[in-house]
Amino acid sequence: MYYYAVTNFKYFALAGFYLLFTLSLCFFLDANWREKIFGQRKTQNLSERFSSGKFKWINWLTIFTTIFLLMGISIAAYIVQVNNINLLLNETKLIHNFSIGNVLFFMRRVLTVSLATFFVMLTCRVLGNWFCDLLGLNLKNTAALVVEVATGIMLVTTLLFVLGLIIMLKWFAVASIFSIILVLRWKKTLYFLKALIRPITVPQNLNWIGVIGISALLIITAINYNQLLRPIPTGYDALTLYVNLPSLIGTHGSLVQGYQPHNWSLFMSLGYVLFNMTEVALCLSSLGGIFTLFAMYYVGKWLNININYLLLGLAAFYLTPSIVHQSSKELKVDLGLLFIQLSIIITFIHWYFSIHRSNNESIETSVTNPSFGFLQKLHHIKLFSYVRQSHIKYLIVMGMLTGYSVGIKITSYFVALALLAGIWLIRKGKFGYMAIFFFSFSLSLFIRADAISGLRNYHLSAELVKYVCLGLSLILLTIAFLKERELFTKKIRSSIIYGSVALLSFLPWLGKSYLETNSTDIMVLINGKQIGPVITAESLDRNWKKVKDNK
Amino acid sequence: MLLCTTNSWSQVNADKKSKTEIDRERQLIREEIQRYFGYETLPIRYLSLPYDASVNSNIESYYVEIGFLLLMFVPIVLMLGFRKKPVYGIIIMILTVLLALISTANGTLIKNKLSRISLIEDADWFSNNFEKETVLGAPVDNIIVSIYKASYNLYQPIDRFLLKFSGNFDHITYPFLLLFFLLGSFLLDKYLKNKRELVQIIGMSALVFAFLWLVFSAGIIWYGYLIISLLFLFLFAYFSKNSKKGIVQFFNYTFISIVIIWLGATLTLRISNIYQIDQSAGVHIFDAPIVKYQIGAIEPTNGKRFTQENLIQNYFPGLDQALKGINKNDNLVYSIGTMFPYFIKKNNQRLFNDNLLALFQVILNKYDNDKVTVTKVLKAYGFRYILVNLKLYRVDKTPEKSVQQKYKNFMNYAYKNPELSLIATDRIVKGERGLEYGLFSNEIKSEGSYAIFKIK
Repeated sequence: MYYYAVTNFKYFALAGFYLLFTLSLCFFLDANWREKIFGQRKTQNLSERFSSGKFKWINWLTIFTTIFLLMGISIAAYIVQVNNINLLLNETKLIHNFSIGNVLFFMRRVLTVSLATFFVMLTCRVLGNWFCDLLGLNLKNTAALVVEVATGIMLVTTLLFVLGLIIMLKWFAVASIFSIILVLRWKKTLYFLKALIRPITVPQNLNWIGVIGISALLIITAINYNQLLRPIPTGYDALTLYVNLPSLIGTHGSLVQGYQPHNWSLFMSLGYVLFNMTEVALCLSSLGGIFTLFAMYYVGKWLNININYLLLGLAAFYLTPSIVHQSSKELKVDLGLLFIQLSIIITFIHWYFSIHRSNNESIETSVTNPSFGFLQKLHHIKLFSYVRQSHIKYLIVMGMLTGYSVGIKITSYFVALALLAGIWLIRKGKFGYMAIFFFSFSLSLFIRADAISGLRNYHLSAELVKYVCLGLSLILLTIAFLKERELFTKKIRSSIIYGSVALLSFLPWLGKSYLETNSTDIMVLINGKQIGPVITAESLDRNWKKVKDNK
Repeated sequence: MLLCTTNSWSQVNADKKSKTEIDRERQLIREEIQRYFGYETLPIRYLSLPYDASVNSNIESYYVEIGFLLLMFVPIVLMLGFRKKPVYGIIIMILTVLLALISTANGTLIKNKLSRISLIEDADWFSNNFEKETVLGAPVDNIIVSIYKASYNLYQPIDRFLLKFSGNFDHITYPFLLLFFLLGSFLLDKYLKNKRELVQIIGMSALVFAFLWLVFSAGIIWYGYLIISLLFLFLFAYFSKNSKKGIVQFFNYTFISIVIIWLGATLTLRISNIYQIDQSAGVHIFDAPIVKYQIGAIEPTNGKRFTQENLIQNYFPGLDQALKGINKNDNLVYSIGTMFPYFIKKNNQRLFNDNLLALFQVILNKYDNDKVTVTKVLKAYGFRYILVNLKLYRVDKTPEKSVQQKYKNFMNYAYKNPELSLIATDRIVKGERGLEYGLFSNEIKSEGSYAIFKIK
């Protein structure tokens, strides 16, 4: 593929422009370059850089403008190229009379979709921020952004689920609730709006490696965004399931019968419910990928990765063809799922730090900028005060997000089991870790996870292995209990809280399936009611015989 | 007595039914899901997954492509991490070489124009044709083919040995995979020994996730995005911290250079966006109809702006008109692997998806391929339309080519079927009046992607 892509490459002018853009960014952001070119003194610290005036202009709005310009230039390059080829092949131009009117039309389209998407994400952030405040999560900067947005998306989806149950997934109902959320937290709303024009701190040691990463990220985001602005999705999975389902939800104004749990599709349905625009649904799906970058950025910083390597690493990940495909060509739920999974890991990191924090340190926090007094009163409810003062607040959020992620894709239960193993590994709990591993394998065989992919039939020892693994798990847990009694109780408690909240968070989907199928079979509950007419060869034959007999 | 006999017979029938249904589902899963996983000897399917996922041995497309960085550098970083304990480094090296051997021997190569060949499946073709023809385009192909051939020869004794205990199914693979995990967790534990406790915890948790993903996800790459993102961070964390002078710095520069080349390659891949090699290859960074829609292009034919309907017409000529008929009422629709559910109203209630023709084949068998009766059976149930994906046969990766056979059977069913009328297709054939939209002809000009039949 790469070979053919290179040998058939036709966009030399565009590539030249991208190169020039990258060089300009290097010059603009990397002080060493300016020094080398103009002999300008290397700026020493951030405050000096900010006072130089240039960096005041680096904010989210200018980043958006840059992406927009890159989009425009890429499209212009495409039109020129495709017209040339068409003239060569068919002696006709593909796009005629390109004018300023087309540019304005394009601008209007981009701005409409962007504003609609921003409105949804702003609501999610405000709601998530309120919830994290209420629980007293001690999050800052990127971690706050990631976890608050993830929590916000989860809460918004829950809201949509409830509205869907009562057939009220209508634009006026959703828009009213969203507006109330924004008004109730108007101070925060304003704060997040102002963040668009607040200068972004440019890392002091940024160099050309990091700038190449930034440039690649901006270019691919622009290309992806161009691909998203379309009234119908493309790709088999999107057209049959992942965008089809949000469209059906939008049309019905309620949850639809059948399907596996589909939290992310419900979230995507906002594009149809609120704006009746496929583009917005696609953008909401694709945003999972963008927020994944923020989540990876946080984890990378936590791993002490040098900022330049980190930015290059993010670009390397985001430009991976499979990721590009899901970010622009075929919108599914996996990037949204990845974002939620990384948010769970970030919350796990904070939970770990909170349990290792000195007992003397107060962990009580207060609501920041309460816009209305009654929100402050809500904050003082005993239950919330209790949760704020203990470490379980992180476990609760982890559990909620885990349940939510399993509600996006069932395979996300791997994350729950992996983190449980992590909980048991704390303070060298290797027996606990191995116990959870064997339990995970055994559980997967008990619930026939391998049957979903059709692999169960090939493993003749599966029935035996599941019991052996369960036995090993119990033996290892007993050893863990004997070796570390005090920690054992704490780990059991944490595991139960985490697991129970995750299960509770996932429960509504099981309830929906139960109401539709009346079955208690776990696989039926997970898979939901069969979609479309239920047909077998036998039912067709029975019907055929009946019709023939009637004749 | 008669009642008992009837009941017993019904019971036998019911059992048969369920068995047929189960077999049908199994075959469907084998064709649909396991194509991501491969069809090698059972343990090899698992062991070759990291390689297959990186070089697209099983499914070739952009949507499964994750590049070579992880495959290339993760083993190197693991080995470098054990510089002070070379025994573990050697174990990693042996494991890597073994996995590479197994994977390449079972892997595939691009022949030309993006079509694929497998040493396992096309061994004869290789030995007969490769020396004579220049079948591959890229400059390093000769080297790669030589490596694959050497691996293939070295792998044969391993495969013979495995076949004594395994095959398409066995007792040993799960226990073997569990042992493999134990070895992996032992090595990772040693590797992370001097790191912060939380790094150890997340590393070991990631291993559990990776294991569950590899064992239970049948090689579907996007179920494992989490591990891929963490591995990227792991790589960059390693090289970021080792920027001292000397050989380590040389490794760092090499790593950064390769990453930048990789970025250039992926960007080129995205910009060229090649799906087929023709005169316009390399132009399609975007889709023309979408760009027309985005900029509100004026259509020269009617002076109006390009709309959603125009867009559908551009992608699937003739579909728009057919959809109007389909969406006029609530009749049942039989869809065979098409992408059209999105366009069909209430598709969750009235569209039956038989993606790989599993049910259709059973019906055909049941009525001895009598096309008229089969159509009447469908009509009696309420079906009025049949939608078919004309490229369905391409998804078939099974060694027995079962989907291709079913597709052929369906086309035979549709051919000159008096009970069906073709109402839309984008296939262009040479007919009596020259080039026209149609399905069957001695000369097919453009294969097309779909056909819609109305049941008369």
